Amino acid sequence: MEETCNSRTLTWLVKSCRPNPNAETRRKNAFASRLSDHPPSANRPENHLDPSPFSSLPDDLLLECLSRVSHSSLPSVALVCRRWSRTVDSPAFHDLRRTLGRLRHTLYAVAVSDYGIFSATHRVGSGVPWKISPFPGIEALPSEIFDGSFSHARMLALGRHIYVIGRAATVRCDAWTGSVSRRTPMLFPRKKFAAAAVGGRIYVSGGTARTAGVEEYDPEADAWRVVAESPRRRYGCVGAAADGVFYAIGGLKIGGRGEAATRGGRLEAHVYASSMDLYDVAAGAWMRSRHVPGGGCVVAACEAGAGIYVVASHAVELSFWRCEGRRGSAGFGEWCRLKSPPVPPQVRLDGAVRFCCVGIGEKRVGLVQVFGCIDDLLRRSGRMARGFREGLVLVYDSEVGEWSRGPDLPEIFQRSACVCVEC
Amino acid sequence: MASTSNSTSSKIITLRSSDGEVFEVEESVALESNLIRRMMEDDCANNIIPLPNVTAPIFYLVIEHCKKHAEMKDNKEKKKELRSQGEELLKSDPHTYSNLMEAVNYLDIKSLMDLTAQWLADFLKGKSPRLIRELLKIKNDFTPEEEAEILERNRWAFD
Repeated sequence: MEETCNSRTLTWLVKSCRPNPNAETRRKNAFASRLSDHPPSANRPENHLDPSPFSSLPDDLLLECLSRVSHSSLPSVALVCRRWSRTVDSPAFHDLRRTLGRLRHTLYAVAVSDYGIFSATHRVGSGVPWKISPFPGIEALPSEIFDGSFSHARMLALGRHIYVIGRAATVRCDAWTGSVSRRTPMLFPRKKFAAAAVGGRIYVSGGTARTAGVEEYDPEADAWRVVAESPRRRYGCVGAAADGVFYAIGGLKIGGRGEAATRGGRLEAHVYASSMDLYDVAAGAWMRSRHVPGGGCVVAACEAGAGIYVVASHAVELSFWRCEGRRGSAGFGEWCRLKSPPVPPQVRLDGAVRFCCVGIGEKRVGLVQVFGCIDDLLRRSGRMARGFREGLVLVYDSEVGEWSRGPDLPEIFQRSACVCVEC
Repeated sequence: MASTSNSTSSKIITLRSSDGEVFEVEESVALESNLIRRMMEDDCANNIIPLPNVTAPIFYLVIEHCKKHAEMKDNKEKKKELRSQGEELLKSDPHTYSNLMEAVNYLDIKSLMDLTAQWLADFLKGKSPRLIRELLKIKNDFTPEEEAEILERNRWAFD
């Protein structure tokens, strides 16, 4: 290195025409020694004049530098000073990291078990097995909030923040810095409810007999409020969102008037399981409900790009659909049947096996088996097929229209909730 | 005063730093800078191009790294070496680093921007916030309460 840094190379490179050759040599040596020798006594006078060389660095340059740090450095970087913390928080930081290819779609699975709270992460498409870790920073939260609060919780991501919304508690985890904080719980305790993010806010619906209200969460104000009354009280439903519309999909009827529940109850139950209610967030109005073609029961759903993807269970098979969610286009609300996920056709999703559907960016959909054992199901019907057991992870790529299999979700993550974050 | 050099080669460009020092640089190297490229397109090629925002020592550094960067294109060893230099510079002289960064930005040299920005990013790897502040002489402007709260929330990150 000394060789490349010596002043001869420099002279060859740059010829100075400065009239005073002595001054020039002095200067050159000074800087050359800075690079190659870096004397331990960094007591150059300028260091005393300005104690922080980085305070003069313009914001955009700081952004350039910090957006290149590795994911593991982010927690430290965000804690150096206010300015750095602000930089990491800025939307430009997110955009630049994406442009630089520093962001990867990462699946998070969070499970609450008797042994504590665990999260597992998997970089989609990397083929690297899930990485298990205790939920970051969870010890910073009071333990009593976890008592039953998070069974059948929903998880969703707003940017890099993962919200775990449980019956009586909400927790936010920053997927980049790992910091965890407690947030305001929903106004009404809900289980197995629909949740989705529209325009930077969270909408939840269903999962309780006490109200038909749709709640909106404003992350800035950390506050929930009821914004609408849902036409159907659903339980066990799933949420999705596309183009400013919040979808409450599937599930069973809950609560309601006694007479209505008994009269033609079966028929109505089926209507719930195969339909979705569309709430236009900006207009504050409900749109016409849609039904999954073929009358399957929705078992998992999510959004990806401008499409709502739905896995439906029929008597004899599983079907996979995409509903066009882009409004204003001629095809809005139109269904398109896609290749079914490669699970044995005998698998009926009736609670013995559960899947969680996660949009991975604009083009892909992940299907994660979060409960049950497929082999057990098959054995019941007299088949001894092997290979599909627990924690199956399948990824559908809408560009090629094919499914691929990812590393299985570890066993401990039974009953977990999944979400995809760019980090 | 630099007019004599024009006789030797047509591919030499003359630049003047903010402190009045005049440089002659090969055109191929100078054109790495989009700023200089634009200036030349705007017909400044026959005159001395002034660089009012760059001092001579920093300009030396820029030129040197431009050259090295061109050399290392298909040389893994050199690439490694160049990346490791950031660590040394940041440790010994963060001031020069930030000045270099600003100069590179002003001169609009894409390749060096990537390199110098990556230097800092690599430098930060595996270091605690306190160590980063110490080495880069950054003032901790969080209030003690804020810091305690942040540390509490992020305890796991520094174990």
